[in-house]
Amino acid sequence: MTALRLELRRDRSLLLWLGVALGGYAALMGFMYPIMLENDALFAAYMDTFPKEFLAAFGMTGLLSDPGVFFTTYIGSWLWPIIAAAAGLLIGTRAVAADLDRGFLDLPLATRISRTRYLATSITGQVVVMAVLATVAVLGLWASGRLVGAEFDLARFGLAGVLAFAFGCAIAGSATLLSVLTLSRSMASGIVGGVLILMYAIFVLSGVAGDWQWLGPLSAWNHFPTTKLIDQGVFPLGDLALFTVIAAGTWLGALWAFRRRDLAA
Amino acid sequence: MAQPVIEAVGLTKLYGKRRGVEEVTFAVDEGQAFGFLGPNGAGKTTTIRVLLGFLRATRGEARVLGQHAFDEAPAIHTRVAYLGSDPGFLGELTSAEQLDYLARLRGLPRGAWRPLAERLELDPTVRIRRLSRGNRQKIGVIAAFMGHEPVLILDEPTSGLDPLMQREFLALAAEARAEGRTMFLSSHNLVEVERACDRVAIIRDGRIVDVSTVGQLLGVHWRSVNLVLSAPAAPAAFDLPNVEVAAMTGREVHLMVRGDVNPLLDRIASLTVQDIAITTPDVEDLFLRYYRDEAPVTATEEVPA
Repeated sequence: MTALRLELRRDRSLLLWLGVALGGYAALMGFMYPIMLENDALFAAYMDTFPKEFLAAFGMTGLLSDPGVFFTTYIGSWLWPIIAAAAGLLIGTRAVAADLDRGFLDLPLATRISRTRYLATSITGQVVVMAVLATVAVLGLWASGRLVGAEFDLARFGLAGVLAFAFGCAIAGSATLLSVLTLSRSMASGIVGGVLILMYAIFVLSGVAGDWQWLGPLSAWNHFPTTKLIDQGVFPLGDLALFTVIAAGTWLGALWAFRRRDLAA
Repeated sequence: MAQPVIEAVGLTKLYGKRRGVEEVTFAVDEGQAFGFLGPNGAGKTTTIRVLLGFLRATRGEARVLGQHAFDEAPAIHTRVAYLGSDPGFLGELTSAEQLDYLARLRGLPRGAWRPLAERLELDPTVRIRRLSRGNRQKIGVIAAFMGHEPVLILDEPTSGLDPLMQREFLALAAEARAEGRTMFLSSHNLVEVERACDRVAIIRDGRIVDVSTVGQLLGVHWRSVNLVLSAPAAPAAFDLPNVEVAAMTGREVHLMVRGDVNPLLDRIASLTVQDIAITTPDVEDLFLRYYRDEAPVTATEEVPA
């Protein structure tokens, strides 16, 4: 069994459970899309009872029957960040902190495998997991929607998947770097999870309260504009670049720090 | 003089202000079996982790096969087999899968572990999470001995093994020595070190207090002799060099003997003995002696230049 095969095998049950939850939910929502279309006026009237700023703070900037609003409301700004955070924290902190704690890390590192190669293998596994989950999320909604006659644009949904993938990779990369720096799974997960919650609070606050709008760019959710992407076809290249730089930078930082990190059991 | 296979010179590892090991100096020559004896928390695992390049020395230097333990760790690892004190094998794998994975990483053929698994009576098809601690330790022993690396570094290798398997481990260690492999064995079990090693270092509170041959160690240190006599004897009956009467209650006598036991056996022969038990002190007894004797904290052996 090669190192990568073992890594992917260790990801298998996580992928299965998160994939089933994510894909199942996405498919269910896709099947419900015609109901949204049929009751568009009713939903719109209901939505009008809420302040526009409040709805915008949760990514609902148009009609729920708009594919972009629909995707962002049910996947992009809600389920995907939770799933991406769960997967990113679990596998990002596993390779070094958790495996050191359980005594597994010594086994591969006492062989001819270099530290860089070991962690790079784990990072490859993280990339695969995020890619599969992002694909499941987008394809689940797109395919089930198509089955019930929804006119979802595959290219735009695909690009939303690419952005979601980069978003997830940024979380996994940050978790990996903190896992190497702290050698503590709970500390690394706590910091990354705390920052994500804080970012979500900033996202809502900056959307609701005009005085706090300046904080908006600090939130990852404001760099995840799937509504605009799917409904208007505007691809947020800058946001994709931002997530990519964070992911690549934190992973490279983790590889660099791990090379000379004391591994005190 | 040939370069030592494993060498530590003034090795110090501090965890912030906390002590790991201090000024540890020893050398292990090719083909030697070197015991590293000390109670829990003495610094055995820290020393091993520095030797394997998992930790960087704060001061001093550790070299394995002539290479810097930290800077050249991957190169060293191609020629070292290691067994940790509590290896975290993956519960979701079977023993066979875990061992194949380790064999692959070490460039060994698939199934290289099979003869040893049969010898140690390990069922390779069972998932590791279902195995007892002893059986999980067997996987570690098999992993350590399945290759032909010239150096073996073993940290508490028999913890959790039953006496039969401990004996099998000692047989494997003897075979490795016969093949000329160098072995570094950390333990808190004096008997294990006595049987498996020809030289031993004793570490206490992070410092080496003695480096000697096993023969010297046993000669210098104390054995416990418990006698049940048919009639009470006077303490003067055991007034012999290197014999100390630890306790005397009626017909029961507890003696501590240092070095050669023959003078005491001659004296005992003149008494009517109902029962006798001579035990080697365990490492805790040994260390109690060290503390009681206020042994100087110095290495007794110079590292070859």
